[in-house]
Amino acid sequence: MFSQIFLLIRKDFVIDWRLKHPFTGILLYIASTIYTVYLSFDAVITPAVWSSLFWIILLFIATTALAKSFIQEERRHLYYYFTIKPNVLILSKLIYSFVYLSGIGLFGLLIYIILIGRPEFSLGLFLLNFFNGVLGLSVAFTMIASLAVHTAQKGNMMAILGFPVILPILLLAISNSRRIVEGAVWDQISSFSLILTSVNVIIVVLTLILFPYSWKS
Amino acid sequence: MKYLIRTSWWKWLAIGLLIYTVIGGLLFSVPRLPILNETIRVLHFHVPMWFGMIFLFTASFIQAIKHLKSGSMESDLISVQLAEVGLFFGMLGLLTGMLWANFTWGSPWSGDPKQNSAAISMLIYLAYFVLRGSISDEQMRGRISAVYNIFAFAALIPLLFILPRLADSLHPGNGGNPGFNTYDLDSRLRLVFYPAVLGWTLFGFWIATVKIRMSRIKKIREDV
Repeated sequence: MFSQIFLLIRKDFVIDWRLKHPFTGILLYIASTIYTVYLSFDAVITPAVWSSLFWIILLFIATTALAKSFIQEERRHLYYYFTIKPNVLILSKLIYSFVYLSGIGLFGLLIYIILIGRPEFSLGLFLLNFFNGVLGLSVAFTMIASLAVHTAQKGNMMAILGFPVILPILLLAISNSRRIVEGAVWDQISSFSLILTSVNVIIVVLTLILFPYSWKS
Repeated sequence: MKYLIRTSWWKWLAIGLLIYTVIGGLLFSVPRLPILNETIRVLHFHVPMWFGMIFLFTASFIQAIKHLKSGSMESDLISVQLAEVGLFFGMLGLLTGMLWANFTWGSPWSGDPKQNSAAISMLIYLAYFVLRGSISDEQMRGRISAVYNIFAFAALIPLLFILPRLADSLHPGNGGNPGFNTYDLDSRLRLVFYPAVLGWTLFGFWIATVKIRMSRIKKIREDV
């Protein structure tokens, strides 16, 4: 089972490496979004706005970046159906999405800091909250992508179905990172981080339970 | 659900409780609190909507699980109708709340955390109906929307029961129960409030059973 998961994850990265344009396209997308933000929010960015804007950008990037996770599998659908268990497939997808989105997000954060600068805050805590939030985003959007792939308008469906469901996670992540940016220490945010983590755990478990049903068709 | 559709005693109970709620809620004496004054009577018409919504969504969630387990189209049909009535109750809850907020907070919408979470939960269930509309195959529509229903219900719980507790709010009952404070409830209010919750919830299920019957007939006519 683990070797299968590993192979599936490797396959996704190999596809990214060989095709190049989807991945570099997303990087270009996030870079130009941040540049737009940089030009249009010139000199009005307070620490609170800084953290919220970053998460909003990440939300839109995640919608586009993770939509492909099942759309690109459509032709392999039957093949997977006979060779692997659905849980293996979804686990590999979840891990891949998390790594993929973290990478894109970190790249975005770098450009964001270079262009817009950063208020004084603890980077370690910010990154901890970043990975916590990205986990929620990537899992929820991967699940939504597996549903959206069956609908008529796949691209729009990601946003329509995803945004309301992702809001609780996003709000928790934003309020956490806002506290961090405004100078909170671990003790002040630990309980909120724990809530975010437990919401993530619930979503992961639900995805593992529900995916086999949305997969067979 | 099948038992509810066949019997009728609870419909008489719902009628009785609602007549009692309307008369008692509007005429009985209420505690006089600053700012709230007579608007406290909204308790019997606003809060039960959320109770009704939660019960209806829970029933819809249970039917969605049943549909995934057995693949029965009947559960799918019931699940959709329950979600529709739940959404309707949620809308009524929002509207009655806005009406009340207009008198006590000064404006119908002030971006209170509880207003926001309520609005987001409406969005989640609206997306559920958009999803159903965009899948043409019947079996597929049932399964995919049941999965989304379960997912949406899981997102609803932190939205309605956890997030509002983390933020400051003007809403009565802040810092404890998200809807109202049990200790603020006067025994005079309780006398009407509990029957009101039961009455409105039963009324919601009644609407749902009628809608379920209607969509069953519609389906039979389409198949013929």
